[in-house]
Amino acid sequence: MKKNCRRMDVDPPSTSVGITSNLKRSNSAPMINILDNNTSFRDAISPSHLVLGISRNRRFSASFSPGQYSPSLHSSSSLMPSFVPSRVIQLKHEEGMNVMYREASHEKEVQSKLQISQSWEDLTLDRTTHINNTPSEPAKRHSLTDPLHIFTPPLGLCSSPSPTRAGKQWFSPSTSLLRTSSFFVSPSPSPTRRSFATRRSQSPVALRPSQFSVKRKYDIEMEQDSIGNSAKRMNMGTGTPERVVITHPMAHSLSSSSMDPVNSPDQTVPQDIADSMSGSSGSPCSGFKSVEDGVSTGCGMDESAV
Amino acid sequence: MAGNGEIQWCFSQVKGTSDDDVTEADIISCVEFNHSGELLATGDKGGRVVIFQRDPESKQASPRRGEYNVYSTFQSHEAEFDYLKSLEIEEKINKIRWLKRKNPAHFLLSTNDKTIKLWKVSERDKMIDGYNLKDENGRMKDPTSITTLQVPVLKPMELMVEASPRRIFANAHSYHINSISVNSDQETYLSADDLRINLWHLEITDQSFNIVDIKPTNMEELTEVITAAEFHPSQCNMFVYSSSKGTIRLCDMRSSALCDHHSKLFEEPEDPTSRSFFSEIISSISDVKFSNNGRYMISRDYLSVKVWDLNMDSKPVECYHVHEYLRSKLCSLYENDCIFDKFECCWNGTDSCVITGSYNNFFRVFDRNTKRDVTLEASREIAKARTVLRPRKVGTGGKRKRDEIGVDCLDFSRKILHTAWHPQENIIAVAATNNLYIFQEKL
Repeated sequence: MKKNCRRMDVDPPSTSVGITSNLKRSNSAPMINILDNNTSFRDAISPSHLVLGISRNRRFSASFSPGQYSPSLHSSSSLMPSFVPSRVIQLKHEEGMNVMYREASHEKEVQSKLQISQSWEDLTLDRTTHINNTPSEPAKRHSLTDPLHIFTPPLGLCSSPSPTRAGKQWFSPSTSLLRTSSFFVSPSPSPTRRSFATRRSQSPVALRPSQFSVKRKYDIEMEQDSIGNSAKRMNMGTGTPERVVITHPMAHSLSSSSMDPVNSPDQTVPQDIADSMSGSSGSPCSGFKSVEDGVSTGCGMDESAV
Repeated sequence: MAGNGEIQWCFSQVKGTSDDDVTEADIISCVEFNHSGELLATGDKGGRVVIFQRDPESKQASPRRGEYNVYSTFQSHEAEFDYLKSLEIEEKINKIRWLKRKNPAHFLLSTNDKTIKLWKVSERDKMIDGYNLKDENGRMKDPTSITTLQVPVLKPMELMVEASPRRIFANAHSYHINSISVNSDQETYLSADDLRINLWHLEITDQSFNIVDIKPTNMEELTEVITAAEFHPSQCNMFVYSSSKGTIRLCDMRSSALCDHHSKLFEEPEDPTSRSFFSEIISSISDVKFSNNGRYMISRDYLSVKVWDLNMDSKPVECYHVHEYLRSKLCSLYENDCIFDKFECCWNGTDSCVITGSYNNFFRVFDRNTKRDVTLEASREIAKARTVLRPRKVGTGGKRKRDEIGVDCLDFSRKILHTAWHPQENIIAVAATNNLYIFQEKL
């Protein structure tokens, strides 16, 4: 079950010092360090599920260890998504797409804030502001090797989905708060800490083979196959009603009354009627090819879904 | 038709190929008998609808056999691409609902995630011969060559079944349509997606009324989605919809135009001792069906089927456990996503029995009167002449009896999500991935 645990080393937010299991939060920064122990962050895209087109996409559901959390967790903060069925989470993410303009403008705002924080003039390394004992002590000069702590404004909403990305969106700023710490950019990369590049530039398109494209390939193959046969003729307008033979896997039938496999009489569709059928191109005819999905559809108990 | 006493089921037919390599487009996604039971429609992931018709010989035979032959096949929906949201729209047929018969043609509604279509399925067994202006091939005759007049006559021809789309109801749903239900007035129908329910008139395709909208203003507050909806079988103003949180709401369209406020809320209070992390997920209702008499309804959640009396909303009147042995396996089922499977359930014609599916190609039939239930398997091994289905048992204890199968040996990739019961006879249609099994009562 916990095969897919990926530990994320993240800085705890400043207010979380001393917090053990109490997850009441006073700010919007997520408690990644606490969740870390028991969460498994799946790949953003679960290829098998997306390709299979299963609507119950569990792109973002993090698995929580049951014993760790009490119901009070869910009520303490409206920002943390309490565990809901995957469809709800999916909808929340998809909704993000509708407010692209809003996010673009917000992103610009945050980008400018980033730039400001990155400019050195705004930095103050006055230690007296941080230490509340011995104010008379002269400010100790920081060694160059000391890691710099730079606090940027919360970058919860700094990402916006790229409009050029096709396929399902896999992160949305409004909901995936658990990911916001990954946008905590440290302007001076510290040798002791991992820096997290924003993942905005990654396009998930490459990660996900689109089932749509697979299906299209199938259709093209079907059309190429049927050039020589009557299915293609079906689409040409002639006066004579051509009879087209349509066989479907369901036409194969095994009946208990007659023990020989029975093929139902082939369905014949006259050409003029076939034209009026919607989507007459690529309609099932002349046998079926198995589409190479390269997708495993098994989901036995011991298999990991990801 | 037997109402009391236990029904013995035997194999009648199986449709579809027996290849182990299943083309995804062939996976059956819905099964529905029409009102007379004469026709059986199936929809698949490839957007096709296959309609079977009762074999007239088998009906007359003694003992009566439940056999169906292919009647019509057509491509109902095609895959589409939503350019605005960069999302694919699957062509998978989510639901098929028949209209009641008004004329020799049959009408059915089929829907994918976004578009509903009304199909007319009609027979043609006569053709017109002897046109004056057209020749046999349909080409116009040269008027000067016509010297005599003839009266066109009807000539019999080989039976042809035509399916033509009569109405296309599109662009009304932002989210994925999960249910459609025809009203008892046979003029309107509802379509439900994750957050909204729309009311349509069968004649009007460019407008629909929104009658339920549970979308919160702030999507962050979204906690539940609509999972199924159905009109009452005889009261045209009432419908129910179920949610992912395990609630069923009965709404009356007479009370207000927007039925956001329910008339009745059916929810079983949760047992606080059995609350677990997965409680909410397994309480999500995947299907809700009114009984034929309109007094009860059944709801299917992950582990059980509950029978509700419409007059009592505090708790269900009956609860049948489908596969309670999975309760300890919820963690693994969550990992492999099986916990999100949407099983359907179905009444029989007299409302005395309920059928639903499970894993390992098992399906369960519950008799409400005798309180007995049986687990049967739809497998190719039993596809022999009128084999009586042997009840299967899943062993949970340490010691397993001879015939039992262990919980860990169950094949979770072979699941029966869709079943249908003939409205008048004891014939059931069970969809197992790409195969359609038809079982009948042993007579």
